[in-house]
Amino acid sequence: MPVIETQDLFKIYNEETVPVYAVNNISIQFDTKEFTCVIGPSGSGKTTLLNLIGGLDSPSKGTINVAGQRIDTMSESERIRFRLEHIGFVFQHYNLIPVLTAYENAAFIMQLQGRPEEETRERVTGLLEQVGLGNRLHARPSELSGGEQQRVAVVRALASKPDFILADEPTANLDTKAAFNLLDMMKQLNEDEGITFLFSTHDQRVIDRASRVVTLVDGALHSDERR
Amino acid sequence: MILFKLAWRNLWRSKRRTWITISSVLFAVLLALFLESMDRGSQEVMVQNVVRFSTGYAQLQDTLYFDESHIDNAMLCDDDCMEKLLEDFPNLAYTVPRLESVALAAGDEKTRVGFITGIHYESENRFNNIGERMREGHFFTGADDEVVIGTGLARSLDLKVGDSMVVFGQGFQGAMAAGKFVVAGLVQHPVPDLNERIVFMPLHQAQWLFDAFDRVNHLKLVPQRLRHHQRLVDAINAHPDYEAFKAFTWEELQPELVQTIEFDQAGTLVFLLILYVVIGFGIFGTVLTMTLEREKEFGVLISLGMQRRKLAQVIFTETLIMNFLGVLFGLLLSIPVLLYFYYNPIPLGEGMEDMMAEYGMEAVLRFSLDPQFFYQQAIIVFCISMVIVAYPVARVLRLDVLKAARK
Ligand SMILES: Nc1ncnc2c1ncn2[C@@H]1O[C@H](COP(=O)(O)OP(=O)(O)O)[C@@H](O)[C@H]1O
Ligand SMILES: [Mg+2]
Repeated sequence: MPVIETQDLFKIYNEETVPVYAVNNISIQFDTKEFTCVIGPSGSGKTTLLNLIGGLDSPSKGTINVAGQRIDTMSESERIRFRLEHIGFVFQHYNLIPVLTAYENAAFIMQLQGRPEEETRERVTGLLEQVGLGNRLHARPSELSGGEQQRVAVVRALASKPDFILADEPTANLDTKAAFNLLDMMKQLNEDEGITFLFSTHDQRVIDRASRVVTLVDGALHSDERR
Repeated sequence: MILFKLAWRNLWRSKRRTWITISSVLFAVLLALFLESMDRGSQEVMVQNVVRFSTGYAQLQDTLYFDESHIDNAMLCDDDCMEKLLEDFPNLAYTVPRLESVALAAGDEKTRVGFITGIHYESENRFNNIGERMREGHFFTGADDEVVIGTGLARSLDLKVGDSMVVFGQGFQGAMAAGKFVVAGLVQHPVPDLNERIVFMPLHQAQWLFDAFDRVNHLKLVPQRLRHHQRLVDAINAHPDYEAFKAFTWEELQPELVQTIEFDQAGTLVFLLILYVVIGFGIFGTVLTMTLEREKEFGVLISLGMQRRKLAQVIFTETLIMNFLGVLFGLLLSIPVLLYFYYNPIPLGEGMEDMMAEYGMEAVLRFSLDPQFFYQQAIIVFCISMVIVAYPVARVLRLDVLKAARK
C-alpha cells in the first residue's frame, strides 16, 4: 500500500511563453517505511516534486494521492490542515523559529495539533535525548550548530508521527561529518519509528545511505533503483 | 497559548523597537488625557460659574416668559406650589425662586438703574454661596425693609450700610412700584456688570414692591444629581399639573455657552485626531516591519501546517500587547499627574485674572477627573490597533508561501 502516489504529474512554468517542464510526467509510488533519496542535477525538479507531494504547490496536470487522499484538489486551508496532521517537513535552511528554544521548536507541531502536554513533553524530550540534544533543550537556535539545528528540525517533523517526512536537501548546509551524522540519525529513526522518509540531495556522499534512489533529469524520471 | 507565546517572544526580539513603540502610545495617552482633562475641567468651571450666577442648571418659567422675559409674564407659584414640585419630582433637590425687574434706585443725591432681585436667601445661598461674597454688613435678618446691594452700586450711589435707598419703577402689569429701604449689607457680585446694579431683597418684599403676590419670574431647579437635569426637565414638561409652566435646561437657556463649549471641544478633538494619526503611523511602522522581516518565517509556519488566520492572530496579539502596555503605563502615569493638577490647578498669571473675573471665574486652569476619559482611551487605542493591523494581516493572508520560503 503506497503512502504517496503520483499519476501523470506535470508542473509547467511559463506555459504561454517558453514552457519549463519542472516536473515532466512523473508517475511514482512510495511505500510505507521506505527511505528514499531523490537525486539529480540542480534544476532537475527535485524541489518542485517534493513541494507538489507536500501540498505546498499545485500541479499543472496529474493527481497526487497522499495517505489515501487526493491533495491536488484540496483547498489551501484543507492542505494546510492536511500538512499539519500527515506530513513532516525538514528544510535545507533548518528554519527553526528563532524565538523558541530547541525543545519548544521540536514540540511546536504537537502543540499546534493540540496534543496533551504530558504526551508532548515525554515524546519530544525522549527524541531530543535520542538524537543527542538532551542537554540543549533550552538553547535558542542561534546557540546551536547547523547540525544540531537540523536534528531539532528532524525531531520537530517526526514528533507528531506523521505519515511521512519530506526533506529537501537537508544536508546541503552541513559539513561532511554533520551530514553523515544527520543521515545516520534519520536512518535510525526510519527503522525505529517505521516512518517513511523522502529526501532530495545532490550530495553523492549521502546517497549510499538510501534504500531507494530516484534520479530526475530535466523534470522527468530517469532511473529508480532499490538496493 | 502557543500563539500568545510566539507573539510575546517576537515582541522582545527587538526590545528597543518595542519599547519605543510602547512609549509612543504611552505619551499619546498621557497627552490626550492631559488635554481632555484640562479641556473638560475648564468647561466644567465655565458652566458652573455661568450656571450658578445666571440661569441655573434648569429653570421653570411661565410658558410665555421665554419669549418675553418681562415681569408681566412672571409665573404664579407660591410656597405650596414649590412644596408640591419637590413632592412630585424626587429627582429635584430644591428650588431657587427669583422675582426680578429693573427699577430706579436712588441714594441721597444720585440715581442709577438697579436690578431689583427678590430672593429666598437660604436657597439662593445654598445654590451659589452668595453669602460668602458679603463685604460689609449682613444679609436679611427679618426686618421688612432690608436690601443688600452690590459694592459697585453702593459706590455709584454713595451709600453705606445703614443708609436708606429709594426704589422707584413699574411693577406687575403696570402697577406702580415704589419703596424706601435700608441698606443692610454690601455684596461683591462676581459678575462685574451686575455688581454695578444688583439690589437683593427678600422675595416677599419684592412681591409686595412690584405688586406681584405669589409670583416669581422663574424658579431655578437644582436636581439631586447635576448631570440629570435633562431628565428632570423632561419629567416636569410631561407632567399634566404643570401645563402653565415650561422647564428649560441651561443648554436651552444659554445656547451661546453650548456653542463655545462645542467649539472648544472640536479644537481639542482635531488636535487629538492628529495625535492619534501620528502615533498610529508609528505603531503601523513597527508592526509592518515586524511582519515584513518575518515573511520567510511565516512561510515556514504555513508550510509546517499553521493556518493563516492563526498567524494573523499572532500579529494582532503583538499589536494589541504593545498598545495595551502603552495604554496601561500611560494610564498609570496619568493618574498621579492628573491628580496633582486636579488639586493644584495651573494659575493663568496676573494678566488673565481681570479678564477671567469679568466672567466670574478664577484665573486658573482646572482639571477634570471624569473616569470616562480613561476607558475612552483604552477603546480608542484598541480601535487604532484594529486599523493598523489590517495591512500586515492582509499581507499574511495573501503571502506566497513558496516565494517567502525562498527568501
Ligand atoms: N517559480 C518558478 N518560476 C519559473 N520557473 C521555475 C520556478 N521554480 C522553479 N522553476 C524552474 O523549474 C525547474 C526545476 O527547479 P527545482 O525544482 O528548483 O530544481 P532542483 O530543486 O532540482 O534544483 C528549474 O528549471 C527552475 O528554473
Ligand atoms: Mg532544489
